[in-house]
Amino acid sequence: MSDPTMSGPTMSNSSTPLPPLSDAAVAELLAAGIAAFAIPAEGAWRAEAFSYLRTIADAAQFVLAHDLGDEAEPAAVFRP
Amino acid sequence: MNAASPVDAAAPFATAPAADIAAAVRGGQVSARAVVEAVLARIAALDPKVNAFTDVTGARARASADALDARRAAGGALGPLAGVPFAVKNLFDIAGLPTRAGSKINRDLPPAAHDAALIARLEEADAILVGGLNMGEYAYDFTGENVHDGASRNPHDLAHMAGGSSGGSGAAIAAGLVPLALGSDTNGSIRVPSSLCGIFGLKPTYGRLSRAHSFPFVSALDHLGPFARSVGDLALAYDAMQGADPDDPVQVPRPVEPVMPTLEAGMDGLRIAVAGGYFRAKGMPEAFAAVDHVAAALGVTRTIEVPEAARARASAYIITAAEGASLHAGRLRTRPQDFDPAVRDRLIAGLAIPAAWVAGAQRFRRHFRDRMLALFDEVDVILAPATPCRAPQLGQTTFELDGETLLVRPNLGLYTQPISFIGLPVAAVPVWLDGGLPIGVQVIAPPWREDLALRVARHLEATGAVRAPVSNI
Repeated sequence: MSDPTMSGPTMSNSSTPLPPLSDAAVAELLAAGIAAFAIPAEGAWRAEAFSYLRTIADAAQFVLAHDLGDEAEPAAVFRP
Repeated sequence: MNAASPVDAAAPFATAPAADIAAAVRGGQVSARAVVEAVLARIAALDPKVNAFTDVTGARARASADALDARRAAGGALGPLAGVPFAVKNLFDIAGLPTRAGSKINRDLPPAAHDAALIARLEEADAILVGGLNMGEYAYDFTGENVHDGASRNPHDLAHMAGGSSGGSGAAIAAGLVPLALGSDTNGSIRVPSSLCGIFGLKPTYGRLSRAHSFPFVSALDHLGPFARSVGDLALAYDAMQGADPDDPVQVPRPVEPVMPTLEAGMDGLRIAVAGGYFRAKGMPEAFAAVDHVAAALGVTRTIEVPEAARARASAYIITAAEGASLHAGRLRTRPQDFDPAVRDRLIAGLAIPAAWVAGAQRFRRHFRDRMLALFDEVDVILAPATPCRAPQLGQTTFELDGETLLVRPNLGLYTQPISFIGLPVAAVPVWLDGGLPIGVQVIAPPWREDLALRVARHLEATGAVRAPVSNI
């Protein structure tokens, strides 16, 4: 049986577009981030941060929908 | 009848171009001290209106001017920026002051032990620092508004934004408080205030000028550069600031490539096109009219499609949010109430970004760079709007672009973000379409070709198509 993760013309993760992130998933992501960094975020802050993260998530889906293949290098910052 | 005092006689130099000041100081027509006194008097009189300065370093400036005058009196040589007053966005370290970076929190830092590298470079050319300038908190801003220090006001209409995040830099130049200022540009923070304030700005190639001893925002995207009211002054300052600096690990090893020798070379042989597609949408008519005005002045009729600009902007947005959040995570945990709420809540959102989103954006960055470099096989320079509109009113939070209501704060940079995403050099040039406020155009060149962007900007200035007058306040 073939491995479904190895299929597709480029075998890249992005050959399968990300499904849209639901608001509930964005809220979970935000809650995890706030907890991971121990941010004492108040309710109003969370609401504002949610709207920004919603926008970021949509931007990420847009960016990752562009299939660059497996061999595309990220832009380097570090130079040895 | 009493003769005019040296300071009174120097008053016209307070608003003179840097090149004229330097020539006069070198030639002995005016002392550096008299120029500094004239500038300090103008700042004292007018800055309360525009709120550009957060620190005025008068004692230091007077001491520098006196030392320069003494050197000249002793027959010593003076540099290309002799006696030219300048000021810097307050994220540049100024020895003896905390580097506030537009924040309340950083004011509790110990005073900087050293000057920023670019301050040192300008002083080596005999320019004279007169102060630190207002900015949006931690540079996460396009408006020039600041809840701690008050907004930088647009000198051409005080009810309007100066633009950000280098709002004080734009306001100081447009108000004629200094002939030269420095700022930073991560996503547009030199080009947006240049556009709204009607002045010239240069965002050099990413990695060209040292960022040592400046407060960062997004290391992957941060640039530093100059503002001025003439292209010649931009070029003078830029040439003085070039050169390798071992204190900046991101700076790219390049030889010093002066732009002054080719500044007046004109347009012969240059292939120029207007950016279409993404750069002809989501703007108010004046944004496109300004580009058309510049294109007509240059005789440009070609339009070229910049591929994937929207995705480039989205990628810059992700990287900015993630890196900015990483930088400020500790302060968000310990002093969240001391942030500007509009900055804090965006940074909190950035803490939740999955690493894979950032890696994907960095992969796209390389791809977009390759596409743009291919475009530069066909053209030498690309023209695009700098902002989607003229200066919004202070406090304005939304505007309507192509029938869509959008937030002002992040979207003033919608045309600048895709360009700085891959570090291309850009000269912002100011266009005055009518009796209203100015609006800028980006003159975009290939990597390391600041000379081309400035050469086109100078041609436009010389032919009267663009200009940066001192405001009437």
